[in-house]
Amino acid sequence: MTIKVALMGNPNVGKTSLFNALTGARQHVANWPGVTVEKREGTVLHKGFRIHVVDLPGIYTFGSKSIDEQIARDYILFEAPDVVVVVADAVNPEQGLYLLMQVLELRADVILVMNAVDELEKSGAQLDRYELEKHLGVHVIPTVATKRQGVSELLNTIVHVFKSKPVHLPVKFRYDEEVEKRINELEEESSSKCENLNVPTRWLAIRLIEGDDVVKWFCDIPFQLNEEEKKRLGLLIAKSRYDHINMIIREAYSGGLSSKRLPLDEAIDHVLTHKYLGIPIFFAIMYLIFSFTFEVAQPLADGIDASIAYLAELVKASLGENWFSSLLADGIISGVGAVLVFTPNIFVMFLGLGVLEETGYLPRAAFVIDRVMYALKLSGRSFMSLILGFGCNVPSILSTRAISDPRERLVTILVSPFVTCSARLPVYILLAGLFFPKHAGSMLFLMYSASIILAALSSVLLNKVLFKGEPVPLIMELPRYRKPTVLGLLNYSWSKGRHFLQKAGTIILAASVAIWFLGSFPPGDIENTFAARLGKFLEPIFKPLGYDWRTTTALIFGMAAKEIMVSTFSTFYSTEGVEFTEAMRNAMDPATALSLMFFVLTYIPCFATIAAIRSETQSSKWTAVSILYGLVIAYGLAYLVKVVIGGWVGT
Amino acid sequence: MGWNLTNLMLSSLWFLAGVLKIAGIGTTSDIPFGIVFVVIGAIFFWGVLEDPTDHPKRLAHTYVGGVISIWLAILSVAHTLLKDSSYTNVYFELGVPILAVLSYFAGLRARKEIEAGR
Repeated sequence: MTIKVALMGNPNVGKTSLFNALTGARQHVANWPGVTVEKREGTVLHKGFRIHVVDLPGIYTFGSKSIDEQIARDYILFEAPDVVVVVADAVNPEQGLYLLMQVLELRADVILVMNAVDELEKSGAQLDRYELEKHLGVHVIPTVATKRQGVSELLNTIVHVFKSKPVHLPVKFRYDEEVEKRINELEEESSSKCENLNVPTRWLAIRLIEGDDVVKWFCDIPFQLNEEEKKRLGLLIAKSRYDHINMIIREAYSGGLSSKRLPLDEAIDHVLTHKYLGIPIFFAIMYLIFSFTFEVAQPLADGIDASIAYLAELVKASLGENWFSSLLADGIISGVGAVLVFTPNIFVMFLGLGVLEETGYLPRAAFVIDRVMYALKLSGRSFMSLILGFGCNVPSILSTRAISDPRERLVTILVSPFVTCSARLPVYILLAGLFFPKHAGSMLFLMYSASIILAALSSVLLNKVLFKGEPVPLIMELPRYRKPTVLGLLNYSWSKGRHFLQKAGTIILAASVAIWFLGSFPPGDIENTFAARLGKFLEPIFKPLGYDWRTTTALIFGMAAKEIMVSTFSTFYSTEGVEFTEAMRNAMDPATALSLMFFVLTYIPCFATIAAIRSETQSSKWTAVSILYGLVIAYGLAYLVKVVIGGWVGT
Repeated sequence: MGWNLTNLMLSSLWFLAGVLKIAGIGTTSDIPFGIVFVVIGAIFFWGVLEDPTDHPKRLAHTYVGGVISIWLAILSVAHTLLKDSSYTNVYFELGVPILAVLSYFAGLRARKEIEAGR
C-alpha cells in the first residue's frame, strides 16, 4: 500500500535534507532559501508500506504569488496527499508554526517536524515537544535531518497517522470578532459554490478574506473587499495567529529562545554585509576562489592531459596509421580528452563555491549586492538566481520561479545566459592558460566579473527599453552560518560537476566524432575538408574580429555545448603536426584570444538553455530576443575588445 | 585598547603586504592579489573605527579578517609550492602565511570573546 506524503515548510528549514534522509536521495541542499523550485519525489519502503515523499518548494503562506509557491499550494489542494509533514526550524519556529496553522485549518492529518534541534540545544534553549503537541493537536517529531536523527521516528509516525486516518476535522482557531463575522458570511456562500474543491469552507473563507485570487477563481464567488478593508482584516488575522504562536512558544520553549540570532552570527553579518566593506569582501572572496581553481587544479589537469596524449599515441602505435586509429586517437580520445582535462578545475571551483553556499555566505552576498542591483532595477533575489548559473544556466533559469514579480522574472531569465556556466570554463581556462599564463587566475576572475556586470547592465537596458516599473525589494531571512562538512562539499561539487562528465560521455563524444569526420573528409588537405569549407564560408563575417575558419567552425559547433569548442580546436590544430595548444598560440594573438573569450561569454546560449528559456517564458518571441540580443552584444563586445586591446598591445 | 591595537597592527601589516604585492617589491607583482591583501587590511582597520562601546562589532572585524586571511594563506602556500618556488620571493611568500596564521589566531580569540559575550 502506498502512502502519499507531502513535505512542506518555509524556505531553508531543511526540507530537502529531510527528503534526502527519508528517501536516500541526493538532491542538492543549500544553506539559502529558494533552492527547491519544483517538486521532487522519492520513495521509501517502511513497515510494509511504500511511502511516496514529495518535497515541495518552500512557502511562508498559502496566499503566495510566485510560481514555486503556487506549486506547493496546488499540490496540497489538488493532489490529495495522505499525510502532510510540515517542517519548521526549531531555532526560529514562528514562521513555520504560522504555516502550520494555515495547514491545520485545511486538514488534520499533519505531522510537525522541528528540525535542527541540535542547533537549538547549542544556543542553550530547550524544546518541550509534548507541550507543543498539546497546544497544536498534532504529532511533533524533533529531527536533525543532516544527521538522520529522528528519521525513523518520523517514518513510524507517518504510518501511524495514515493508519489511524484522522477524521477530516481541522483545528478551529478563533480570530477577532469582526473576522469571524466575515468568515461566517463567506462560509455559507462558499459551501454551495466551491463544491469542486474538497476543502473546509472555513479555510476557503479565510483565504478569500486574505485575497487569494486562485481560490476566488475556482469558487467564482463575487466577493469584493476594498484595499483598506483587505489590509485591515489581513492584519487582524495575522495578529491573532502570531499571538497564538507566541503563547505556544512561551509554553513549549525554555532557556532563552528570545535571543533568536546567535551573537557570533550577528557579529559576522555586521562585517560581511557592511555598507562599505561588503562588496570589496565579496569580490576578494570570489577572486580567491577563481585563483584557487587555477592554482590547485592545474597540476591535476596537466596530469590528465599527459595521460590522454599518451593514450592517443598508444592507440596510434597499436593500430597503425589508418582511418580507424585516427577516429579513435584524433577524434574520440583527443576530442573528449581535451574537454576532460578541465574536470579538476571544474570540481575545484565548485568546492570553493560549495564552501560559500554551505556556510550561508551566498545569501549575504545577495543582500550586499542587492543595494547595487536595486539601483539597476533588479533585486538580490535575481542575483541569487544568476549565481546558480555559474554551474549551469538551466537551473538558474528554473530558479527564477521563486521571483514573484513577472517583469523581474522575465528580465532575469533573459540575462541569465550571460552568466558564465561551467561549460564555458574549459574555453576560458584553455585561452587564459595559453595566452595569459602569468595572470590566468585573474583572467578567470575578469570573465566571471564581466559576466555579472553584463547581466546587470543588460537588465538596466531591458528595464529602460522594454519594461517599466520598480523592482520588488529583497526581503529574506538570512540563514544561520554553518560549518561546511566534507561530505556536504563533495556532494555539492559532485552534483554540480557531474553534469560536465555526463556531457563528456554523450554530446561531446558525439560531437567529437562529427568534428573528426567533418575535419577529415574528403581526405587530403585539411583546408578542403567539409569543416574548412563551412568555416571559410562564414569566415568573412568574423574577419573583423580576427577569427580564422577554425575559430569560426569552433563557434558554430559550440552552439550545441560550449565545451565542444575545445574539442574542435584540439582536432583542427592537432593536424599541423605539433601540440594543438602550441599551434593555437602561433595562430592567434592575445587580443584575439581575449576577444574570443568575450564572444564565448555572450553569444548564443547552448541548446538546453534555449529550451529552458522557451519553456519558462512560454514565448518564442522572448527566446528569439534572448538569442539575437546575445549575438549582437557578443559581436560588438568582441570587436571592442579586439580593437581596444589590440591597439593597446599592438598586434 | 588591546583589540584596537591588534586590529591596527594587523591592518598595517596587511596594507604593507598589499602595497608590496601591487608594486612588486620583494615579490612578483600581482595587482588583484595585492588588492585582496588591502581588503583584508581594511577589514581589520574598520574594527578600529567601530564604536568603542560596541565590543562585539570590533571583535567581528578581527574574526572575519582572520578567517579570510587563512584562506588566502592556503592559496598563497599552494601558489608557492605549485608555481613559484623561486628563492627571490621567499621572504614575502613565507611572510604572508605567517601573517595569515597570526591573524587567524587573533580571529579565534575574538570569536571566543564574542561567544562568551564579553
